Amino acid sequence: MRLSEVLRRLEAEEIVPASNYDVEVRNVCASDMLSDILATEKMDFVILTGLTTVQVMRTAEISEAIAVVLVRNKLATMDTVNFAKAKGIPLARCRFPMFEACVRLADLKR
Amino acid sequence: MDDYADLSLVSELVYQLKARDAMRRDLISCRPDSTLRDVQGILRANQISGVPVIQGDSLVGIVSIEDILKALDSGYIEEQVEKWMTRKVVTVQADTPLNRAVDCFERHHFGRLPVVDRDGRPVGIITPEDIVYRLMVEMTRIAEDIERRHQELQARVSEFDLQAAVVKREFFIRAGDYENAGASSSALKAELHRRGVEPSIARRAAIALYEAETNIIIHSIGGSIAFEVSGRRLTAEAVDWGPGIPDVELAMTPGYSTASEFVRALGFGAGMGLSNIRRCADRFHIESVLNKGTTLRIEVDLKKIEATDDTDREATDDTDRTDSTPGAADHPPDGAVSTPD
Repeated sequence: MRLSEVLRRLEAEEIVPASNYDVEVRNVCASDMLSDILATEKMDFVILTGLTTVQVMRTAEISEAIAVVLVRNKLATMDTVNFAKAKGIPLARCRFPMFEACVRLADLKR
Repeated sequence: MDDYADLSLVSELVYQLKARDAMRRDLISCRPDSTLRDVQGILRANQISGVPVIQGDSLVGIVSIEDILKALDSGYIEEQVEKWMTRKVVTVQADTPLNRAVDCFERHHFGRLPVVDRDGRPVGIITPEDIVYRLMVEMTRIAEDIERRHQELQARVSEFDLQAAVVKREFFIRAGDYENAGASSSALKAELHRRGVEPSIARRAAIALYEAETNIIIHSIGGSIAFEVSGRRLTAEAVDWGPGIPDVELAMTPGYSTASEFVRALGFGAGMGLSNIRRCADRFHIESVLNKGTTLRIEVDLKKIEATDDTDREATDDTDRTDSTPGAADHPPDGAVSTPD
């Protein structure tokens, strides 16, 4: 599924826009625990999380996530947004809670 | 290159190159029955200073611009070439080395020399300018060749430097500095990418270091991270000044965490840190002394080894993972807690 489709399904509002919306998303890592995200062996994934601190972006950088989507329309801190911009990692937020957000992307794992 | 090398290159070239390599093959000539006026026109039209006189396929003489000037002066310009041409023509053979041709020009002060084959038939004409031009072309080719080889060598050397250079970095980590967590792993990742380390390996290494760094921030009173990247290996050491881990094996258990609610709210303290590090590292060693501190040492092989699947990596691990329940008796009596080395 393309990143553009992921964002569309989540009705996401982009905070730091992507430079490439055609990149293929094959997985989702949905967690509020950074180590859980870092423990994943998935590739080509987006992070769904309720965390808004800059460490989410750091984790995305290190684990090479395609994008970060904050659930429940959470507000990212300025540090988070600036880090995302600096590293070129797309950041968005959606109004759905974690479970609904996951359900909307569930057929990625069919 | 020094002057002597330059000279030896040129003298080698003038010996290797033959007259046929430098001569002009589009031989402009006249016949014995041409008039000197005709020749004047030929010289002017082609901007040359002399022509061989050819009858059938043999060389019978040569006429130079001096002959024409004399004819104009003395008023016999309309007469036939045959009468005024130089009959005793100095020639060079096509397979004569250029150095002999150069000698010939020096000796006779001719502007041009007809080039003949072994049977004396004219096949071209050569001037000192032709020789210089041919040498220039040849030297340019050689210079380009040397330049290209030099660049190839340079590229190989710099690749070698990049791989061989050892980079060491050290970071001081403050307790509770959640904002800056990850600085060392960002630096490591950049260094590994610069070296062209395979992305999946760079990711593992960066994750291990990030977890080690956040452990110091969350659980210790402060410490440091040092890493060293060489051509083959990342070696990292995470040292903190306390308080130490009471039970390392328990701490290694995925999901086991002593992190506070505050820390968990920040997304840290999932209880995956140490097990994540062990999973990501090729070699892993932890030593903790209560009230003194913890030292974590990891290594990641940066070169892909044949068949590097997980089982292989585990097999090369320093720690004995199959023994998940080492008793307290395994620990040294001074209270140091250490995984089997």
